[in-house]
Amino acid sequence: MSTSVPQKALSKIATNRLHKELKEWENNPPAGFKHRPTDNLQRWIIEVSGAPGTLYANEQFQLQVDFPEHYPMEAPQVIFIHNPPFHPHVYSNGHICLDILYDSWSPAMTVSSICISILSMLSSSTVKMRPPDNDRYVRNCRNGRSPKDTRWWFHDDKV
Amino acid sequence: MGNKFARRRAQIDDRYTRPQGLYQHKDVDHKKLRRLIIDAKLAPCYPGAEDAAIDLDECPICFLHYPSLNRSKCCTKGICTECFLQVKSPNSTRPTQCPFCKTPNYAVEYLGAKTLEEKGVEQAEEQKVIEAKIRIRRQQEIQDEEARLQRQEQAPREGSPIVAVAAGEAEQETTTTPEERSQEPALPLERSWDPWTNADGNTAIGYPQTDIFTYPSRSDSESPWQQGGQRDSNRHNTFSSTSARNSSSFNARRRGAAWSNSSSGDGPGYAPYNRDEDFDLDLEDIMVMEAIWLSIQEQGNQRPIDSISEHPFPSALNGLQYEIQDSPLTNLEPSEIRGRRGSVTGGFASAIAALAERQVTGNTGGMEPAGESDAESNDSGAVSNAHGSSETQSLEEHIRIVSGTDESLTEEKTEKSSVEESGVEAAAMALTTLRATGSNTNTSMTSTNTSNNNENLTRWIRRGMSVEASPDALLDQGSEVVEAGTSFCSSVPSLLPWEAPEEDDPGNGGGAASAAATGTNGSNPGGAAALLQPGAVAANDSAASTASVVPESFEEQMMLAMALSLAEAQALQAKHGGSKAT
Repeated sequence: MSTSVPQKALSKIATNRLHKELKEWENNPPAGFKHRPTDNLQRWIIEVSGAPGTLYANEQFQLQVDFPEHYPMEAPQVIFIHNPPFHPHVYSNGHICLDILYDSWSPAMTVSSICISILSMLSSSTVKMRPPDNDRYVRNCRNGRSPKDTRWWFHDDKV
Repeated sequence: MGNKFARRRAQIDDRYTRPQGLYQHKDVDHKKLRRLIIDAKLAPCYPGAEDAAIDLDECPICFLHYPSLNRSKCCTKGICTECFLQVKSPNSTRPTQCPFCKTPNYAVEYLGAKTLEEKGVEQAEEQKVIEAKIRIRRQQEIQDEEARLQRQEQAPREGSPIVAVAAGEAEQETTTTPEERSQEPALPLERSWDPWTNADGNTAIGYPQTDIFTYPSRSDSESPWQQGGQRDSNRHNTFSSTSARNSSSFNARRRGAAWSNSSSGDGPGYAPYNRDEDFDLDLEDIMVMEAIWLSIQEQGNQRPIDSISEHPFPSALNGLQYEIQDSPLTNLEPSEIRGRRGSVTGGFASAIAALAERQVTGNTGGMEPAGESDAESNDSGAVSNAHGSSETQSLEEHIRIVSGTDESLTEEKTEKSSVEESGVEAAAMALTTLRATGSNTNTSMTSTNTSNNNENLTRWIRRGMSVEASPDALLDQGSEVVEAGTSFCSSVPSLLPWEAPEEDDPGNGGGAASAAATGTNGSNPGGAAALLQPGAVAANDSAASTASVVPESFEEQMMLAMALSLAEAQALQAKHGGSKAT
């Protein structure tokens, strides 16, 4: 589990935006998600409940969202912690192969929209398995590399 | 008001012609920026306010509030000048995508502050969204509760709820209300629930809302076209907008605009929404249909029945609203399909049947060239573009004769004509959207943009069931509709149960896609864009694929069955195209 992110303090604009996102979340949390309140605005821990009727129904997962200094111009780092779901796009170290977290990030996205995308990704899964290259990838990430440093190849457009 | 001020050159304080320090801008040409601001090409760099106020707009990126924002040319979303400078880095080598809709070559324009009118509309929308959200939540609670009770009640009575549709429904039918029936899918539906599937790889967004296509309770629907209307249409509306909001759908403004159009049209415009849910037929009618259904079964017409029973309830349908798709063109399909479908109880079924009929009589196994189907529409003296509608009409006649559901259908027809107007408006709206995206068939087109489309179209179809009723209006709208209509035609046969057995697995988008693709092979490989759309639809939203064909309610199954039997009967009589002439 790569939890160490070289963190620079959030910029003013990032702080401001995250405060607002958090407030909005509290008023209107995305369905199936629960933000675990902490003092740390820069790292959110979010509980995910598998959507009913999907392979992950009644399962709980935890997402860790780390925000870079220049959020939202820069994407947050989002990984599963503890027991990542068995999913073809989720590596056993919690890294998630999902384009919006990397190349396709847009500053108009929010934590909330990320969460929904992730739940969507889970829900569309038809088989519970690790990515085929899981072992190799995880080995390469042993030094706590951030998934944001990975060059992802987004091959599955059915997510 | 604000407009004028913003437009007048000298009005802008020099302080606001340079960034306020929100970001550490690199590479910004301050002179150029100043000139752009003074020329009112970009919004002034007012210091953003923390809190919302009536006369301020929120920048969706920094979440600060400004008197006026720039708007993206592609999707009219607002952005403050400083965020824009960040997003659109001047030295970037590749063209910037719009952060909201992903259109390449992001560019903004400055139109001054929003007028009071615009703001009023927006606020009204927001209010409605909030209200509808509450309703959805409440509705779902009720629904969950009912579903649970239903399950408890039914568990001992019948084994498999799936089988019940084909066989068990008959006995049950007399005792259940439409509302109860709508609960039945709860089990199989949940199992196959997969609202998020899409083919895009982008953010597929869904929200497992099961209540959207269920029927209002009996008491609710006593006079379905008057009461339910407003409320239900709101519910649909919200739905789109909630998902929009949640879904990294950046296109909110445009969607909002379309949405506000539809929600501002009061009165009869709402009526068609109800069609989705109000099949509140008399018991008598139901029994007649039942009899027909059973007789069909006896005839050994196994294939369609099988496939129906295998996925009796297209849970998938629900996904249709929020599915996200690759090519904007694909969007035509589900909505188009839905259009026909949502129109009348039998509208969809009969449209399918019409196609099925042709398949049986003429084009067994082959595809219907789009042109031909159009021509046929013409022949039957209906509208040139509304292919489905002419046939639908004629089939409706048949259905009416056979089933004796004269009354209900007549009622629906009246209803249809009453909503003509809104249909026109809605159709125009949808067309605009089509055009807008038509130029952007790029795959990089964002999920949201297209989903937006989808919603618009869906909305259009829903309220504009009047497509059928107001063909004249559509005639004016030119070729897009024709295109939509015809590609719909081509798509349907491929999705017919006996053509695409693989499609039986609603959870498997890929399978459905391939099924659809197989189905389309016969015709026009060059027209892949149009013809493969069913495939795309299927893949994007396995839900949509099944949904588009499989009747979602018992009534629809009835209608479909009837229509099919009619078609077969006609085929047997070897009267080629007999029904089309009527």
